Amino acid sequence: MRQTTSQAQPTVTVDASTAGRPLLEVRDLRTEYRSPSGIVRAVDGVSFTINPGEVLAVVGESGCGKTATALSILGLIPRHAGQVVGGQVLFEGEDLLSVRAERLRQIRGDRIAMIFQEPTLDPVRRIGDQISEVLRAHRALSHHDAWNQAVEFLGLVGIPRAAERARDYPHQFSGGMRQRALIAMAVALRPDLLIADEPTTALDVTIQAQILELLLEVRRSLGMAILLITHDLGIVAGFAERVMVMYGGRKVEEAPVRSLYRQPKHPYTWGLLGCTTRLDGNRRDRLPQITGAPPSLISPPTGCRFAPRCPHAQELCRASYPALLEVGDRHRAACHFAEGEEWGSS
Amino acid sequence: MRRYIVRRLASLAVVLWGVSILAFALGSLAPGDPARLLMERTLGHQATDEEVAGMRQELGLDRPAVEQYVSWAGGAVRGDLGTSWSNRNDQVSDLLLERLPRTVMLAVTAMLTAVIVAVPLGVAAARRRNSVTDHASRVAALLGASVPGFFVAYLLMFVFGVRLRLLPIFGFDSPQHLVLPSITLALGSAAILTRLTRSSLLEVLGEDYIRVGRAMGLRSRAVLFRHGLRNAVIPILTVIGLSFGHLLAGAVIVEWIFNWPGLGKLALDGIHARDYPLIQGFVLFTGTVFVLMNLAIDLAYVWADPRVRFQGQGA
Ligand SMILES: Nc1ncnc2c1ncn2[C@@H]1O[C@H](COP(=O)(O)OP(=O)(O)OP(=O)(O)O)[C@@H](O)[C@H]1O
Ligand code: SF4
Ligand SMILES: [Mg+2]
Repeated sequence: MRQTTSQAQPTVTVDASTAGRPLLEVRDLRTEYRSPSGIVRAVDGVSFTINPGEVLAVVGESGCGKTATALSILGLIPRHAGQVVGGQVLFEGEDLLSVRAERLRQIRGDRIAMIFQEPTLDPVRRIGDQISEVLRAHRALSHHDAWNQAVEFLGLVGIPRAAERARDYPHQFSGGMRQRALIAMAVALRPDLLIADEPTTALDVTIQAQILELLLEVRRSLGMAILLITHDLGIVAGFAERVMVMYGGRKVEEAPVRSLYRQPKHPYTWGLLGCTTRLDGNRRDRLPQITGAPPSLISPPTGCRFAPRCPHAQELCRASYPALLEVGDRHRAACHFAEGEEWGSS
Repeated sequence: MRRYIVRRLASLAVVLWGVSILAFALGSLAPGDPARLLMERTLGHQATDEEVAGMRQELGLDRPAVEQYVSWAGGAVRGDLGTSWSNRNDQVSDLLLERLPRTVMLAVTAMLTAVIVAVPLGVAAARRRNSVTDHASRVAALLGASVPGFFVAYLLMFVFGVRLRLLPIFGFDSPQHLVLPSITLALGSAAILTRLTRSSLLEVLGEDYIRVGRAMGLRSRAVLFRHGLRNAVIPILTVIGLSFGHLLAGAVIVEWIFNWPGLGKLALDGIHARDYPLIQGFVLFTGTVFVLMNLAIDLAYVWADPRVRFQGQGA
């Protein structure tokens, strides 16, 4: 198939068979790692959906299972380190956890692409070649055509003199430029979903905003859905439509961005917001930042996993795990007292 | 890149200079009086002091050591390593050059054997970590590295030469003669290379860019070879270069056991005969080969690693 990608056109196509159906539906995902001190339940029954073209942010502290969730979706948990032990990952209705390896390979990069925290490329191969290689792994393209498309996408992501720079090796690019090149590689096949795992964490502060802006721009022109993983609620506001908050391998709150910022229901989310720049500078009942360490995922506490750090924890919290309940419009939280009166002054 | 090569060449020159001093010292510091030894060997009986003094003068051994070194090294630069003492009509350089191709043949065959066996084995072990293949290759490598060469040699001779009568044991008349000596010689290097290939490949496969390749839907074969092994080649090259040196050293024993008339056997004969010019020539010569081999490896780096190729150039 010879594609002419002269200029990136908006291609938000919702064909009849998929209309109304989520693009990705993760159901009760469970992923475990093996470690010397025991089984790590990195993802412990997480469910969520992403609609076509939607941007969903996943936030939570380091080690809460964000990366593990993303890797599980694409079947990238290293076999020697761990495995997905339960659940479903339905991509347009097809369960990625049970498809054949070759089918999964076809989906990776072409339908669902992923970029990572560290902007790393193969050090011994030219950047243009690496992007071409991805194109040719999915399309019957000549070397020449693939190279030209690679150059075109490098230009699209803002690499100056792209035709020339495509011949560079990764060490000749700065970190920010490498991340741009990786974004070019990830979107070159116009995937329906881009998973971005803390794409700016490893970069200079000045570059971070540029990369986020680039992601939004690419999304505007190509129209893919984005799953943005971050531990910084501060960058989510201008970026995502919905937010999912993870704690200790579980989803604890999920809401449209506005209602999450205005009415966070889970005490952990309150804590997170306390750590970030406020949307609303007038808020007086500012909670102290979260103290204590995240729970062990090897033998997590029974009951609410946040209880050891929660200023509102009661007997009930330690005894039983709170179910994820509807607490507002498309707003869900897993806290025994989320529906009660707002957590106010403490 | 030119700067890189110039720097390598300069450091090689220094190393070679050091080797030449070492080689020279080896001859002139050895115990015993070579002039007396040589005179008595020529005469076949005890030599008088005058006769020995005459011989010493003839050999130039009465001059100060520095002067001797300068004239020897000066000759060496022109390709003249002096005359052998044990065969007084033969130039040392001629003797060495006559034997060189045979040893090179042996060493290169052994190296190729080692690479052809070790790299696939290492790749298989890395791919299936902790599998039967992995454990088997570990045991094989351990044996290969720890069993002494002469034992392997005699075992091979016994099984393939004496029992099965499949292969010749002594000499170098046919290609079949190459088989047993080169296997013996290859064993140690193959063992090291297997382990190194495994560990380098495992390290590379843990790199982030490998995960990127998988996440972008590259075929697993492409990820393993085009990115994995291709990057693992860089450390593997180093070890190939180093083990070539060990191979040359190992060749001395293997040539002696299999009666393979190469450089190693020549050197041993030279040592038996206290033929100092020959020994000095051999040490200098193999030192040079080793150093040149390292240069070849450095050049291979330039091919293998763009980070070396672009050293000193602004991005
Ligand atoms: N290869 C591994 N082997 C064993 N345990 C692992 C491995 N990778 C991750 N873990 C554990 O799994 C849990 C979830 O890790 P994960 O990488 O998903 O966290 P994260 O939310 O992405 O954190 P971060 O913000 O630091 O990236 C952590 O407790 C971590 O220690
Ligand atoms: S369930 Fe209890 S411990 Fe958990 S977050 Fe809610 S109040 Fe805190
Ligand atoms: Mg992570």
